Amino acid sequence: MSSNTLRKIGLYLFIGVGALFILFPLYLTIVTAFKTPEESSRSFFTLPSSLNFSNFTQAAEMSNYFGAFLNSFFITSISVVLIIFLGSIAAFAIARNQDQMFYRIMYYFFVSGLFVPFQVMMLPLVQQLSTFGLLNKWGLIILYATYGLFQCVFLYVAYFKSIPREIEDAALIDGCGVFRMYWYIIFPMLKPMTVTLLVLNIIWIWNDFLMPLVILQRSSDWTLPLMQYVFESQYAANYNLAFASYLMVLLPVIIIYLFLQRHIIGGVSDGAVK
Amino acid sequence: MKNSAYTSLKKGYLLLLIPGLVLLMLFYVYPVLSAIYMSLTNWDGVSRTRDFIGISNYITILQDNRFLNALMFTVKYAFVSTILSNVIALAVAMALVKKIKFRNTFRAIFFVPAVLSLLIIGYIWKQIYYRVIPYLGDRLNIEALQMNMLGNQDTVFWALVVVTVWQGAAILIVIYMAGLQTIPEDIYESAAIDGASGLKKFFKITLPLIVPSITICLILAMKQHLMVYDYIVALTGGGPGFATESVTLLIYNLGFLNNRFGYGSAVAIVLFIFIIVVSVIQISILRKREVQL
Repeated sequence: MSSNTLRKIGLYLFIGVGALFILFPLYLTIVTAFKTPEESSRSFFTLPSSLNFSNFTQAAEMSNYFGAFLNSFFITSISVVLIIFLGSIAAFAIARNQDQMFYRIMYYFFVSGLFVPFQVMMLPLVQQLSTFGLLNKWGLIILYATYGLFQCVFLYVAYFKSIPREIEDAALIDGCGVFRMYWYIIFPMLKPMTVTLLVLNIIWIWNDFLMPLVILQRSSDWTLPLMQYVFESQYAANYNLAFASYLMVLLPVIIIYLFLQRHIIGGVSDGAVK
Repeated sequence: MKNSAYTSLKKGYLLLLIPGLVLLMLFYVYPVLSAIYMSLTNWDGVSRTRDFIGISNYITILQDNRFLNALMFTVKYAFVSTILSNVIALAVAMALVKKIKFRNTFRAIFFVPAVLSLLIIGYIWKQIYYRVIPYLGDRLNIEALQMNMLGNQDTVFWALVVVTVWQGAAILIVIYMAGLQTIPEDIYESAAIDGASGLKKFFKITLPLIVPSITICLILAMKQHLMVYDYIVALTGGGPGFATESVTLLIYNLGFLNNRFGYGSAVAIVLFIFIIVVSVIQISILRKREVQL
């Protein structure tokens, strides 16, 4: 065999073993979620003998899955809309006035947040939100809207460099105000970066655990990760049930990923390079 | 006419900036400043009174074995996880930019962990360490696998690192792929004509040209691992003993369980300063090594 074929085999072996290592925990989650405890004790790794959905119905009922799902959906969607809207208008103002000291300082101010761990703000925030009566999903949404701005402004300002100003000048001469200009001309041109930011923020907020843990006081506000956290301490012993609930928490993101994976991977690489 | 359009434009820009600015003032600047102030008090988080005690919380930190233990663990964990996940991610990225069959499928598979909840990943791996690996150890009669790796001081560190790399490499792979794809093919071809070996090509061409990606990946990974929280909660809860208590978990425990808000704030600020210092060092070392094509 030539050294070239050997190298090829090595390459496929490396990638193949890596992919199996990635997929194994997910495979295990899926098969275990469908099994009964007896079946699992016979073998962890084989396929279940039948598609048995009782683990799912039981876990959904015990953990109030649908309530938590709706909370996650509600909090994530409102937060990302706010992040995109507030972030793009702020980035527009900053990007088009970078000759002014004030806006340059504002840029660094927004971006500085990228380096601040949430743990620094966590303890005072709980006090602060409690005096505002905001230890609920609205408080959480406001926090996501704020902390999402750091990255959003950073990436949008970079993206604005690739958008020529001439179109805006033309619109101004035609008597367009800043707001109409933003809505009809600027925002549509930002679309590729908007998609990237939507993806990054949806993944972040949907999966976030620490913020809901410290902010959400009522169980009726719980998101999926928080619901799983509480559920885990009670039912981890029944691992078939536990795996069914893991799968139910992961499933929404996996479905979105399967449909949008090209855009998601592309968006992440664009976002990182800029 | 032109002038009034210009002033209204200026006002318009300012109006666009204000909503974000107000949010940042209220929920970023204010809490950070109160954290700094709280860290100089002995407040317990509940009572009405608090005394200003200067920097004595910070002096306590330096003598607090629980904090030093948490910091040592966090730094070791972050350092090892960052190096390992970057080396593996770069290797996978180099393989995935080659022309191989099913390349897009493989890319999609390797990115899956990046979209999943860290907490749930932690739970799944906990079950693997708890049940699946000991089960395998029983069946295959391998004693080393029969124990619970999370309950053992010697193995729990590496058990955490494996999970971290499993998940953390995914996003780095994509960033490295983006960096590798900017290197023009003809540089490699002319190096091959000059008789450069594979290793030489890697160290003399690939590495210097992807320094910007390396900078981003190292900072991203290091910051994320220094702030590790979800894995610890899901996998060990800080145990066995205090073996895996991260600084973030310590802050949570101090603030919400031990009623030591002032002290917890001081620990949070030390973590913050630590992250800034590490990031600045990383940037300044790597900036010098950046090469322009």
